[in-house]
Amino acid sequence: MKCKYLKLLNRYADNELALDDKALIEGHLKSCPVCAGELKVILTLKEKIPQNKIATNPEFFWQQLKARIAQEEREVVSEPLFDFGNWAKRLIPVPVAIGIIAVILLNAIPENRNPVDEYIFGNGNGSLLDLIEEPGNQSVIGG
Amino acid sequence: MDQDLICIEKFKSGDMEGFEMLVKKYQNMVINIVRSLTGNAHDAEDLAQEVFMKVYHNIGKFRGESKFSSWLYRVTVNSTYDHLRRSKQKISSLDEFDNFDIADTRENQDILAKELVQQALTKVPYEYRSALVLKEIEGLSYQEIAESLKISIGTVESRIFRGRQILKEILIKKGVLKNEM
Repeated sequence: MKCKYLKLLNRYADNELALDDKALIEGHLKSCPVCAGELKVILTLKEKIPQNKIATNPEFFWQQLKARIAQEEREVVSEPLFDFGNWAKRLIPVPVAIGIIAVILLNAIPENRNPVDEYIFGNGNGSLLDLIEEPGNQSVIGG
Repeated sequence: MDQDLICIEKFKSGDMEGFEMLVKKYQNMVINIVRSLTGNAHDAEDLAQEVFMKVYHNIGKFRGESKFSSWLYRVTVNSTYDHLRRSKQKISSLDEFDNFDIADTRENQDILAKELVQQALTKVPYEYRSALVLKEIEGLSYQEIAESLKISIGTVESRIFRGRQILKEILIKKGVLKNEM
């Protein structure tokens, strides 16, 4: 069962209500067991949430922080305005990669064969040079 | 003039002592909030140092329109959220506490209950949890929470309401709280 005052109970428990509303809730709590039970739960939760209040040594914490700031500032100072080494590391792999890809592609593509060159310089049957060198064929050339 | 503002002006003009005074004044507050939000006591100091590093770098953005403490609460809550998201930290499961071998004294039961509530709190969605922690740990008013988190008072009210509802459900499920409803 829900009660229209349920949401206001949190404000009541947190002391966030105006005096009029506070009186209204207190009157309502006497006659509503649902809200009375819910308020009990809210108060238990408030009590059980651990406060975790720890106290650290302020000087130790500050010295650590100061060292961290100094370390960070040293790193910023030692970092040159234009770090060629760093850029080189980033850029050198690009041409190297392009070169490797180019070599692979050039090897994969078949040689550009010119049929006339093939015929003249020969790498197969029926080369023109063969025709010239064979005595029997000279008459043919000469007409 | 507000003491914090004097420290900030000092720091902005290059005097590190201004920053030192702010750190020493607020370090425990930051550590406690971080610890409650993460449920992790070990990393709390490290994370608090990260918070102050952010303050160190961003203090120029603080215009003095709100209290410095409100601004610091916001930086702390946001930095902790970033840390949890970045580290995807495994938050201890409530089940891990089921096997606790602990002497059944009233004092021990109380310690265990608080530990369970702390762990249950880390299961509450972060936006509800942060409002709850600022309310319960720091004792801020709804108005102060609204200023710190830059949300309306109505939103603070519903986040605290929802946060407590979820926390209650988890604790009832685990038998830490009795269902009175």
